[in-house]
Formats: sequence, structure tokens, C-alpha cells
Amino acid sequence: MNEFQWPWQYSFPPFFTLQSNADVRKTQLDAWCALVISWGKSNNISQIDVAETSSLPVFKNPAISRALPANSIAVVLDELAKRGNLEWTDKTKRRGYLLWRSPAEWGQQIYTWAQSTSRLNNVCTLYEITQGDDTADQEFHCLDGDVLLKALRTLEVSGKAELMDFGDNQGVKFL
Amino acid sequence: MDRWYWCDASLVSGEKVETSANGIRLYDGDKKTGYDDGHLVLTNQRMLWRHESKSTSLGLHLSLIVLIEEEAGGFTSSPKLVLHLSQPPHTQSAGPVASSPHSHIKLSFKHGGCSAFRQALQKAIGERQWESVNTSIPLASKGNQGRSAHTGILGIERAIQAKQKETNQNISRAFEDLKNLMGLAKDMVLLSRNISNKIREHSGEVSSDDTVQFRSYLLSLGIDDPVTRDTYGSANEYHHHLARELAKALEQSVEEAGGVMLLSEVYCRINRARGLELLSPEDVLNACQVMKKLALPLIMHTFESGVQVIQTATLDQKKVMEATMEVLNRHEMDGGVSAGDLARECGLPLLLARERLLQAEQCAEAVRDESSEGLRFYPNLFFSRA
Repeated sequence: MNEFQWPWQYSFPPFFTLQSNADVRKTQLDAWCALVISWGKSNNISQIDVAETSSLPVFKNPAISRALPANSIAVVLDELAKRGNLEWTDKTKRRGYLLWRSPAEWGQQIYTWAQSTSRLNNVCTLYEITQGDDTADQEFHCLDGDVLLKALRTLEVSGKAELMDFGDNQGVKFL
Repeated sequence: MDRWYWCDASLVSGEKVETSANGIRLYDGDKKTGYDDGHLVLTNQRMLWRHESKSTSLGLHLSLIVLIEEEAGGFTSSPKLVLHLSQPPHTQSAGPVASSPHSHIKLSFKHGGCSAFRQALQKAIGERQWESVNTSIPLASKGNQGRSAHTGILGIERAIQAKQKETNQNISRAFEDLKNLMGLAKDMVLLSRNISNKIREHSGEVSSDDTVQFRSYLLSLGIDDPVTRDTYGSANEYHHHLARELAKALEQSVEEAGGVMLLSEVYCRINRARGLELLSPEDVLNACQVMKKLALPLIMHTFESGVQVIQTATLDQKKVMEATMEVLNRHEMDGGVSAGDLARECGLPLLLARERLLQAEQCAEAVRDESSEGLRFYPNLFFSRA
């Protein structure tokens, strides 16, 4: 995996202060959302715990000794949620899935992979999909289990897959 | 009236008669009493009132008199003295009235002599001889006089000292009077406010002529009625003149200061220029507020934060902004600009520098960086680099 390329804003001190001018703030939040998503993607972060956000490297830059204050982080996360890139696991908004791709997009990717490796009408375990050797070069390798389930459910709804439960293990049959 | 007490007309030791008057009627507050047509004697300690036919007198100790007012007479009324009195001591002997709701009495002078009596009374009260009467005997005061008659440098110095002491006393007495006057003025203002409120409430019943007349009365008394102040407020003629004077006196200084001057500095400068006829901050503010209306070369501007400044009417906001941005751009890479930095670089007051930065932020030209190092500003790279 390549070293993550921080955007120029990351070393621009005002980036870590939520701007009061509405237009500027909007541009700033755009930049923040883009940064969090690309960073999450690069580091394969799929779940965000609000209590731990302040220790995440994305929200602080020790090089210029700036960190985004907690309430501003909340604003950024809310903005992400509004744009559909973050899905809260519960109503208390303590944890959320960071969706740098929507579940439907993931589903499509997995289905395309299944097609290209002629796994249609076969059953795969979920472990196989995210951890198996065959998917090592795929983007969804190491995908969070919960996000994977969401993705597969979207396939199920469109009739392209069928989820199965083997007791202690889950599998999917691509149709 | 309860301050009077029964006594006989004989004088105590050290007491001496200053003046007297005839045909005096006593009033309890503003109410006439039956004590009429009496003989009033003023001593250096007391006032004694006695009716011709009676043997006992009424006494009033001078130490109780707080303030003397004179009431001019008319066709049907005699001239009067109004004496405001303090509370009588508990040890006072019985008088004709046990207690009275009024703290002032009046003396009506049927046969005139009111002013002369007032002067004598004022003098007697001023000298406060009743204080020394118990301790010093006339002989001793004679000795004092003898000593002060010494000549030579010591004598002159003593004379100067005595004179200084007297002046001091006079001054403090004058201020005492002033205090009383202020107390009364407060009541007066209250009264006028009440009346003007009444006028406003019943504005249907009272013609506008009456209102105008009443106001002119108040103004002639020198009492500025708050209502009229609101009505005329900043629009009054005085402030117009003041605004013109300010514009004339300060135009050049404001231009030299870069077209903007804080109101506090305006206040200091104009008062310095005037020397003695000092202006109140309120008057300066009012004058500044009417500048715009008068189309003067200077106008007042209030920033969103409430900071008020005087600026030249031709001030180019764009140029100001450009100057601010120039500084910001120069420091884009080395930690931004704080209000203090800008103040130093542009020679501005700190308050004004801060306003400029906030204004730049408002126009999306600058962005803020709040950290432990304080509030600093950078050029808005969010827009220019994106």
C-alpha cells in the first residue's frame, strides 16, 4: 500500500479551525470530507468510533501542531453522514461506518469479481471474499464484515446473490 | 413646626442679638399656623419668636437649619423665608407641636425686612458660634484677637493661614449648598418627568401649544427633560454645530491616520484641541452620529462588533482591503497574521487592525486559525488554491 498523500490543506493551519464565513466553511468541509474518505480508503478504515476520533492521525497534524477540536470533528462527521459517506450504527451517533464507497458500489464490485472468476451459482464464504488469496488484489480485500454484509444485501435485493447461514459461518451464492 | 420649643426670652451666656423683625407669622410646612404677628429675634445661637401679649417665647436652635430659601411676595402674600430643618435632638424641651410631618417651616414677613433677616441668619449659621459658646468665653476670644495683632513675619504668616482656613471653610460651605441644590434638582427633574408623562398620556386633552410651552419652561429652568432629549436627540442644533466643528478640526488628522480614527481617539483629540471647554463623550457621539446627515467630509462607521470609528467619507474600502491582503499574503508561509502584527505593519490601532481582519474574513478573503497561539489570519487559500 502506498504512503498516503496528505492534501495541501492538511498543512494549512486554518484548515483546523472551522471557518465562520459560510461560503468558506462549505469549501472547507468539502475538503475535510474528501480527506477523511481518501484517508479511510487508503488505511482501510471502515468504522469510526467518535470517542477515538481525536487520536486519529487524520484529524491532527503534529507537524504544525494543529488538531481539529472535538466539536468540529462532530461537524465533519455529520457532514459525512449527510453526504451518505458515513452511516451511524445507532441513534446515539457513537459509532459509524465510514463508507468511502456506497454498499451498492461494493456489491457491484464483488459481483463483477465473482463473474470474472466464474463463481456464479457457486457458494463462497464471506471469509473467502475478504481474506481469501483470490481477492488479494481486489479493493474489497480486508473489507469490514458489516460493510460486506450491507454490500451483499444490496445484491440480494437486486436478485444477484443469496445470503446463506451455516451456523457459525456465513456464505453467499452468486446468481 | 415640632422643632420650636417653649422658653423665656432671656439670653443665655455668650448669646447676643444679631437682628430682629416684627409682624412675623409662622408656618408649619406650607400651612399657616395661629402664631401670627410676633416679634422675631435672631441671636448668634437661636431664633426667638414671641407674641407681643405673651410672656413665653418660642425658640428654634440655629443648628437645626439646613437650608434657607427666599420666597418673593406678591400682591396678596408677604415675602417668606423657607427654612429646611433637620431632626430635633431628643433632649429638646417641649414645644407647641409634638410632631409634625413637615421638615420645613416658613416665616412670613408682613412688614418686610425678609432679605435683610435672611442675610443675618445666613451669617449667623455660617459662623456657627453655638459650637464654641460652651467652651470659650468672650475673654479668651479677646486674647486671640490680641495675639493675631502681632506684627512681623510670624504675624503675616498667621494672617495668611487664617485667611486660607477661612477660604477653605467658605469653599466647603459653598459645596454644601451645591449638594443641597443637586438634591433639589433631582426632585425637580422627577417632577418634570412626571408632568411630561402626564402630558403624553393625555395628549388628546392638552393642546400641542401647552406642551411646547411647558417644555420651554423646563428648558428655561435649565433642566433637560429626558423626553425632549429623546425627541430632539441627535438632531438638535447644538450637535449639528459640534459635528461641523469636529469635521473641520479633525479632517486632516483622520486623513493622516489613514482615513480612519477610533471614536475614543476623536474624543481625546477634540478635547485636547478645545483646551478648556470640554465635551462629554455623549455629546461627541451624538455629534458624530449626525455627520452623515450633514454631508461632512467625515462620517461615523460602526463595525459589526460595535467598535465605532470616524472615517473620511471618501475612504476607499477596496484599497483598505488590498492593503490588508497585501500583508496577509506576505505572511502566508510564516505563521499568518495576528491583529497585533497588522497593527504594527500598518501603523493602526490594535482594535482597528482586528476589525480589518474580521472584515477580510467576512468577505472570504481571509481565513482564521484559532490555536493556543491565539487568533491568526491567513489568505483564503481554500478559494484561491482549489
